[in-house]
Amino acid sequence: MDYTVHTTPNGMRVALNGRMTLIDHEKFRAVVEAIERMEGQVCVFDLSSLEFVDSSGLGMFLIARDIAQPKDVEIELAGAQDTVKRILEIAKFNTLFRVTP
Amino acid sequence: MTSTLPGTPPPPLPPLPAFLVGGTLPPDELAATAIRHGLTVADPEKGEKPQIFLTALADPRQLINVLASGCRAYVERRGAADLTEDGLSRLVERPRSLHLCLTTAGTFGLDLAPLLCAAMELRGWLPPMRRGDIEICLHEALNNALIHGNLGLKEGPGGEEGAFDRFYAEIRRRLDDPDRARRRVIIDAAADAGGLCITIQDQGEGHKAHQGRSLAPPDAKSGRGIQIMRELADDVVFSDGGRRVMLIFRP
Repeated sequence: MDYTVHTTPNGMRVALNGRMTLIDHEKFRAVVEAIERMEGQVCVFDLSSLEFVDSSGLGMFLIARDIAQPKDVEIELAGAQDTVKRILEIAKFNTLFRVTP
Repeated sequence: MTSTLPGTPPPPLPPLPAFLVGGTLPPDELAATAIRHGLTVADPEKGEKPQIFLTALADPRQLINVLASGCRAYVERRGAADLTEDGLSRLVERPRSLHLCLTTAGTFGLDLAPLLCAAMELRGWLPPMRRGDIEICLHEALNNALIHGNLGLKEGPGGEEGAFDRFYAEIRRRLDDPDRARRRVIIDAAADAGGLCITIQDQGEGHKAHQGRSLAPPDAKSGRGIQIMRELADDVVFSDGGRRVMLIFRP
């Protein structure tokens, strides 16, 4: 998995691409640290180029949520393609995150 | 025209050609293994391609090439005394089947699910529209076999701070244990009119993760792998105390 982080007017945007699995936890820690430091109220994960996420990847999004919640930052999971969207649905992530097309 | 007198046994059938074996083991070891298992070493100069490939160490590029060439069994040696208990030719007797036998250390270094899916797609075994489902189920089953099976970690990471880091550090520590690192993960895939059946077997102590049918709470940091498999495969059957899982995908 690769990622890029951009500041936006109301927070930040993290674009993920490739395959997000257990071995990516160290890279994702850098993303979580960026959330800890961010200003603004919205962190959008752009998932349009994410090809694959496994159960460990889902756990990483939940860690990001744990960091964001005390800061009143909302996490949005945006643009997931079919394979990733299906996994988010099975995990009922729409009950925990703002999931947008 | 031939005829057989009543009461006389039919003439013996010509012997079946032995399966061809090849790989990256030292030539004398390959030859000795071939004799022991009743196989013939493939001669690349005659254009012969092995049906069974024995490798010293698993390698993704090699695995892709070997499976693309039509090979049906890929077995990693890495320090193990015996390649298989049941005989190598048994691995390829069944038509439309694929067999991978890899060590834990070898499997961990490969992103195996997409490689195996590519090989099955090449063979026309993946029902249209199911590739994504099959890949994620296979990936989760392999992770379970490695982490909860052969490496013996009973639980996934919890919700506390640094849980993923500690979990991953423990995986690396256990991969350094030679006894755990050379335990096998054995994958058998077979396609027929009833669909695709993939069996993943590990050599761990067994685990009970599959017995709880209740779903993980939505915000749990781990425990979703089996839930994903049950949701996306047509059937998921655990056996051998959790060491074997069979995934079935119907057409």
